[in-house]
Amino acid sequence: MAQGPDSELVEAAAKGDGDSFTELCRRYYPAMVAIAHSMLGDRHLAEDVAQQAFASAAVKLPQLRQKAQFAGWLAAICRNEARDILRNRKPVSSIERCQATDESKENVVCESVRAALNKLSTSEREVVFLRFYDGMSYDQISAVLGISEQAINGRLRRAKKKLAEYLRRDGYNEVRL
Amino acid sequence: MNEQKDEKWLDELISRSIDTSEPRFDAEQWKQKYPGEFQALVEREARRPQAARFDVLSIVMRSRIAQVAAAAVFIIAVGLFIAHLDHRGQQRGQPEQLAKSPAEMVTSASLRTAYNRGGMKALEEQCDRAARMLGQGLLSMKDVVEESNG
Repeated sequence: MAQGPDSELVEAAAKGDGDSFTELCRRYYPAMVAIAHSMLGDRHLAEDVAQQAFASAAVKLPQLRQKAQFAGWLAAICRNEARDILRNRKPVSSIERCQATDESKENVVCESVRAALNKLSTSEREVVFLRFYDGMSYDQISAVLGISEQAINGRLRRAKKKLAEYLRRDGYNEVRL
Repeated sequence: MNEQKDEKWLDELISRSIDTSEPRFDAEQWKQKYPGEFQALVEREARRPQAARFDVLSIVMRSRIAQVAAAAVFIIAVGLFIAHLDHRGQQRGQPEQLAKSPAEMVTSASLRTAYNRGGMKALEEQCDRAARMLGQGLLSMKDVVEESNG
């Protein structure tokens, strides 16, 4: 059992089928990395956190009563893992800074966008990251966040409006949403 | 710049600013990194037969119809058990009635059994039955005791 709908894979994984569990990991890895990235601001650290979340899920899977809510349950574990990392980390900007040291126009723009992303609420930043990670569909985001596609659309629009507003304040007058 | 163009520009800006390339999950590397957790997961496969036995109970507890059926079976089983005990009790109470002779009916053991079963009333009844079998009238307790002590 390494294909099929999530519910069947979760059922099989809960009974000890390793292949089903790794298939679920494969499916939800981008979403978990996106969630951790939105909280930690570090892509590499986000990947570590996502993997740690899968390890915790492997142990706790029998405790999951509603198998259909696997994605939301996994996302909650991932957020907890990311919070643990944040607790043990010095308070720094949550979005990673540009690696390049030169002050090119591109880097300045990137910095401004990251700064604007940092000003968003956690839930708004989370939905932006989920949407922009390889263009995840509203359906996939809905499964992970446990909210309707309409709610996702609304949250995403609000987040983008805020981003545009922050960028305008930063001197990017051309952004009007 | 209209709103649509602005949104597209913002989307491109976000995509450029954060590394959003799709991450790839390497299952083998993950298993090597977390061998204990993966082992804990697959070891459940070996424990499945035992778990299946408890699944019957969980199925019964999950379905209302199954709960009612289980309760009915339990009540019937208890009823049958009580009926069986009652039947055995009646069988135990019968040796006096099945006694072959009046002499056997008035032995101290037989009278004690009758007394244990129904007190003085049962004792009297047994004596009356013994007397009737002998073709005599009703006996008093004094006669019975004297008779049984020889």
